[in-house]
Amino acid sequence: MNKLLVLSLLMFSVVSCKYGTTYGNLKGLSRLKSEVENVSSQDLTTENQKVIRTYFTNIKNLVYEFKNNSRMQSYTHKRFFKYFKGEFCDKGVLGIDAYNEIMNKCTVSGFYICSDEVKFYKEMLSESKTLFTKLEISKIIESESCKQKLLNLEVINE
Amino acid sequence: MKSISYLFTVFFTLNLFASTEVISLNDVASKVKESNFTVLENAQRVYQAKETITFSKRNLLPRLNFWNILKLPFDWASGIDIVQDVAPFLVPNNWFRVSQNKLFYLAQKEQYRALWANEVMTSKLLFLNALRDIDFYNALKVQKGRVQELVDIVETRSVMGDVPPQVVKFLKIRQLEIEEDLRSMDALIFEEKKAISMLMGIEQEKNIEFLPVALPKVEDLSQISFDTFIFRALDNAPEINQYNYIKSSLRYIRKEAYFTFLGSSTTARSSAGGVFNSIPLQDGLGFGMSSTLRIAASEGKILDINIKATKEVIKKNLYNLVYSFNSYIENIDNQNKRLQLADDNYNIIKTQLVLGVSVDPLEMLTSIENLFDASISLVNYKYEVVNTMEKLKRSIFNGDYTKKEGKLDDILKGVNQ
Repeated sequence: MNKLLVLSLLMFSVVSCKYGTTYGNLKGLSRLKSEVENVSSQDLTTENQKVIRTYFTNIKNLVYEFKNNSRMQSYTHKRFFKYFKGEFCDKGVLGIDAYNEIMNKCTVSGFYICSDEVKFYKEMLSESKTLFTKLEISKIIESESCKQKLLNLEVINE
Repeated sequence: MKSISYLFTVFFTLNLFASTEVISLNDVASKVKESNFTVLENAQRVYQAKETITFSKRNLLPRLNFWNILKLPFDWASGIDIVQDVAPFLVPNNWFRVSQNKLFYLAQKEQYRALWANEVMTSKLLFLNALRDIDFYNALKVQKGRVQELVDIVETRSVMGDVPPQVVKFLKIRQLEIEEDLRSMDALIFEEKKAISMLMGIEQEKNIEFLPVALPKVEDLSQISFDTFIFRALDNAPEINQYNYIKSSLRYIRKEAYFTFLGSSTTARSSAGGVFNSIPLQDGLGFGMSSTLRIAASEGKILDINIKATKEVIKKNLYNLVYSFNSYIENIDNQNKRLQLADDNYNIIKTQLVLGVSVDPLEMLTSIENLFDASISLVNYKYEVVNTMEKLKRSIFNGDYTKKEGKLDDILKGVNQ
């Protein structure tokens, strides 16, 4: 019986490590976001496209992981109020101005040339909103700047 | 009696319309998605891959195997033998198979996306080719009329002795050649219609007709550059994404090798995971593990080579497309000028003929053929531009080829876009 217990603990520790990577990516968003903001006013070179893609793909991967992993969801819900910091929204979420600036450059001669993740940024955020509880959402938008940012991105309504 | 015959006529007319389907270029993408046999088959494979995830998750739960229960010994230590039945979740390799199958599902979705886009493009290009051939057929009919006109004039002049009889015969031979060209063109268009029916999943008994497309004004188009498109072409390529997903799943093979001492997985890999069937896994920890790891690493290198090769193929195709597109735009003036000159020449000779000037019939035939060649060339040119634009859209997944990558598609399922 003890062996079974040890095995179960071993497995749970493996699972927690996996979340660690995902949460690490979440923290890494703030650096990627500043990089995107820096290139948003520049020409859309292949290098800049890569910078933009990395940020938006990270958002996609995070939402995908979270949406498809019910254990991770319940793990997050349990610890949300303990660990969530309002500054994440300011640091990690790209605002509407920089986003619009990028999107304006993404259409050339009628062809859309950026990643699909850029095109569906707002939709991805809206979808991620559905994965949080009402209480969690109200905690997220406690900060006025965050609320305004999400309103502008049409993730939340008034 | 009159009403019966009226009803019969109405029924016959309705029946005629029912067996003919009119298709526009815009219909092609949606029809291919709905009814193309290869796409439908591949969609089933994606469905199977998704179900395999559910299967591998449920395979982690205890299951009942009557014969194994009958074998159940009386001491608990021997009960470990049936751990795969009672507690399959204690076997780490079963968990790794779940993760692998999730990635194989995404790889299968990418394969479907590539196949879907290729089928849509093939159908659209075939549709455009058929339209071009219909235009050629109509131009050939005009050509036939012009040659007939010339034959009539030359026959009259031959009676008067102005033209030697062998010239009349020569022109009649040319006329018969055109008849033959018309017949083979008609057969080609028939074949193309049947091929499109096949690609669109329309029953072969049905007749199809095509709505013409508006050809672009090539003069108004501007040149494009390779650098503008290459990022999206590579970034959105399902062929590369598919390899990336399969490569990501390779790490679970390594984990499986490490954890074989806790038992092998009883869950099968889905069809996209067939590439890993050649990697041997020992049932239990043994000296073969290092070989398994080296083979897995080698498999990773093969995938890297495939990714690199696919990238180069995409770049090569894009370079060719951009080059062709720009060269069409550069040379459109030549084409227009050629048609204008050929038309002028034909009209001058025709006027001379009407005014009674002695014109060499063979010179007249040459001018008719020049005009035909120039008009055909210009039509062909415009269709080539449309074809190139279609291929360009396919390579960057724009327009009818818009289909989201697997993860993105999963996230946005049910979201109004």
